[in-house]
Parts: sequence; structure tokens; C-alpha cells
Amino acid sequence: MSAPAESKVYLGLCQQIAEAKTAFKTRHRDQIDIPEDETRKRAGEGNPLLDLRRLKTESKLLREFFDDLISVLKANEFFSREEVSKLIAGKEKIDPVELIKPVIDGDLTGFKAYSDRLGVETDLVSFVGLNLSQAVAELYAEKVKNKVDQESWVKGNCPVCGSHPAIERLMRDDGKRMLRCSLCGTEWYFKRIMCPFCSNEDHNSLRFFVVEEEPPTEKSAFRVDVCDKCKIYIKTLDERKLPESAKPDLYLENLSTIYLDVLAQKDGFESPTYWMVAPSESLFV
Amino acid sequence: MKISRRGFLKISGGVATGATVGAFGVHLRSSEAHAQTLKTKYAKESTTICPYCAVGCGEIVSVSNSKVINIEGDPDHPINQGSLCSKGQALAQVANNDRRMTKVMYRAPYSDKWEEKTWDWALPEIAKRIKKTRDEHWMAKDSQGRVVNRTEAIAGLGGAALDNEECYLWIKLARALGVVYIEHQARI
Repeated sequence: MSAPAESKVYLGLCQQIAEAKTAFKTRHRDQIDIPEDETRKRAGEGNPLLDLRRLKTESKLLREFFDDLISVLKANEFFSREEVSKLIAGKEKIDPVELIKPVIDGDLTGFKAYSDRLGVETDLVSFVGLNLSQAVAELYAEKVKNKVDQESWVKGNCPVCGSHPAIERLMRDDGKRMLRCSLCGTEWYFKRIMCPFCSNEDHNSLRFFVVEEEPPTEKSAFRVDVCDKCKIYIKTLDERKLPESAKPDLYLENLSTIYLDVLAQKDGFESPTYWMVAPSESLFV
Repeated sequence: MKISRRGFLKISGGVATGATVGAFGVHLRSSEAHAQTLKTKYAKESTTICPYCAVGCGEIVSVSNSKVINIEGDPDHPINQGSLCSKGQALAQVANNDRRMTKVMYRAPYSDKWEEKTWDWALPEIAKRIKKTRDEHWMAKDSQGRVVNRTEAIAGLGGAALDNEECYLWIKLARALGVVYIEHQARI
């Protein structure tokens, strides 16, 4: 499959952002300090290790990555030049903490309201807000993810930040299922026959589909797992179907397989991508 | 575990979330065009236990259109954690195999040919021959005059592929016939 021209521009943008994130994380890796007591207490209570509200206190870090993002957006043609210039013109007015608030507070309307105030299109503002949240959440997650007790965390939401998975993979060696967090990028084990979104374990209502392609393409290792109970789907990369040498980046793989999202949504399933859990809400009722 | 839907947020800036205008719309439309050219095939997965030996490895069976399309080790099963022996790996061949017997085939003593027979012929024939062998070799007492009521001319071989209920019936039958050579094959 050759990616359509517009997709290539989009993938190029995401690739550049991924690189900017890596550089950002490398610069600040040693500055993040999360008290051991806090993570231990949260783990003891069965909560994700990270309190996402912490991210709102990082205005300096957020400002720095906001500037990184602006330079990437400027160099890329995915968002219109006009909208990006509006964002740059209003740069001094923009509070990066306001940009991540809708993600942290779980209030989608926040993006619309903030973009209206700035006079910049909502797509661009929410894209920046999401990427800002991801960069800082990833930075934090790196500090605590080795403290996750994989054995006891059999939940469909991230053990580090509580968000939902965006994509998953079946590991090359033993076919174990690893979910990847849509916000902080942490990976964690999950049961093969269970829906991460509604915990449905009835194998009669869990299915997956593959795309029949002859000859197989590099994307043939993908399948899409769907739940007939909650009607949510998730894309799955089966690493066992990839050549040994392949080192897939799930973040980019997710973005380069949008046609699978289209197919799943056509069959009546909803996207799991960027469904967040607001930390102030109780996760389980 | 029931997750509260109230706490979820779907961010409109994400990919493929139904955005139809602006930059994402363009990206989505090109993917939509690509998707239209593709055909999908659905499958289901369910867990099972390998029937071959007493280890009892867990397996995941994938079925599409009522056909087994894949069998693999269950990585969540505590015993085998995803791994399988070569026999367990070939389990799908039990379901999909053009060499699998679907009819009664009979080769008479000293014959070099297989003949197709019916079950109505085979079952009474088996019963008749068991009875004949048992009657011919019946031992009411052993060499020291003790009552044993047994036959040493028939042996029974059970298997790990049998479940509890089948084993129960099989051992009942063997004891009733006076069979003393009772064995199983769980020795992979």
C-alpha cells in the first residue's frame, strides 16, 4: 500500500513531533521528581501511579515543548500556514496550562472554548493540547513505569496515568497482549480474551477482523479487535507476522493505519483513541 | 469491573474521530478512499485445553466462518504461558485434515485391502469379537485355586485425550469385562 499524499504530510508531521518529544524527554529526564510515598500510596489504593493533575504545575516545561511544537508546525504543511501564524501571533497570550486542561480535566468543550478565545481553529488547538499533554505525561511516565506491578494490574486502563489504550500488540515471543497508553505511551500486559474497555470476557461477543490482501502487505500483520457488547474497537499489531528485523513504532503505526479505523467505524464500532479518563472521576463504579 | 463512561473524553483533535473538516478531514478522506478498496474477514477466538497429554496446556483457537483458521498457545494460561510442544502446535490438523477418517474402514485378517463398512456392521462385530475372545480365555480361578474372574487376552488403553466422564465409562466397561491390563498413554 502506498500512503496517499495527504497522509504522507500528516505522517511526516507526526514523525517530526515524535522526534521533538524524544529530544525533549532526553533534556529533562533527570529533572522530574515524583515522591516515592505518593506512588506507593496510589498503588496501594489500586490507583494508577501518576496523578495527572501534577502536569498542570509544569508550566515551564509545557511552555518549552509548546515552542518546540510551533517550530515543527511551521516547517510542516499539514495545518494551514494561516492558522499556524495565528497561533504564533498569539503565542505570548497563550497559557500552555490552559491547553492541556481539557485533557487533564476530561472536558472536551475546553478546547472549543479556548480556540474560540484565541481565534484559532479547534483542530489545531486540540492537536497542540494533546501533544503537549502527551509529551509531559511521557516524561513523567518514564520515571514511574518500572514501579508498575504487571502481575496484579489486570485492567484496561493505563497503570501509570489511567488513560485508555490507543493501540496494542501481540508480542513476538509468546503472543502476549500488550496495550499501549494513548496518553503517556506506557505498555502493559492484558488478557487476550477480554475487552479492555468494558471487561467483557465472553468469547462469543469478542471478535477481530483482518484485511484480506493478496499479496500480503507490510500492514497485513494488523488486525482489529472489536467488542460486540460496548462496540469499541482497538487495532492490534501481531508482531509474529512481521519479519524478524522489523522494529515497529506503535505510535506511528497507529497513525499510518487510519483505513483500519475507517473499516471498523463503517461496521458500527467506535474509536478508542484518545478516550481519556478524568482523574477526578472514579474509574470504576 | 465496570468503567464509568461519564469520565471519558473523546478529543476531537485526534485521528479518525469523525472530523470531516480541516486538515484531519483531508487525511481521513484519503484513508476512506483506501478503505473502500479493501475486504475484511472476521474471526473469533476462544480458549481450549490441548487434548493430547496430561500437562493440559491452554490454547487459543481462532474460528472464521465455522472453520478453524489458527490454533496457538494461550499466553495467559498459567501452565504453558503461550508455549506448546510440536504435537500441540499441530492441533489444528485434527480439525482440518483431508486424511482424517470419516467412515468405518475395515481390513480383515490376512487381507491386504481396506473395505468401507457401516457403523451398523462395525459395532455388533466389535462386541461379538470381544465376547468371543473373553469366553475363550476366561479365567475363573488362578493356578492356586483363588477366584479371580478375569481375562488376560484383552488389554485396555485409555488416553489423555479422554475426559473424566469418558475415562469413567471406559474403566467401568473394562472392569465389567474382567480386563486387568489397563493402561494409558500419557507419556509424551
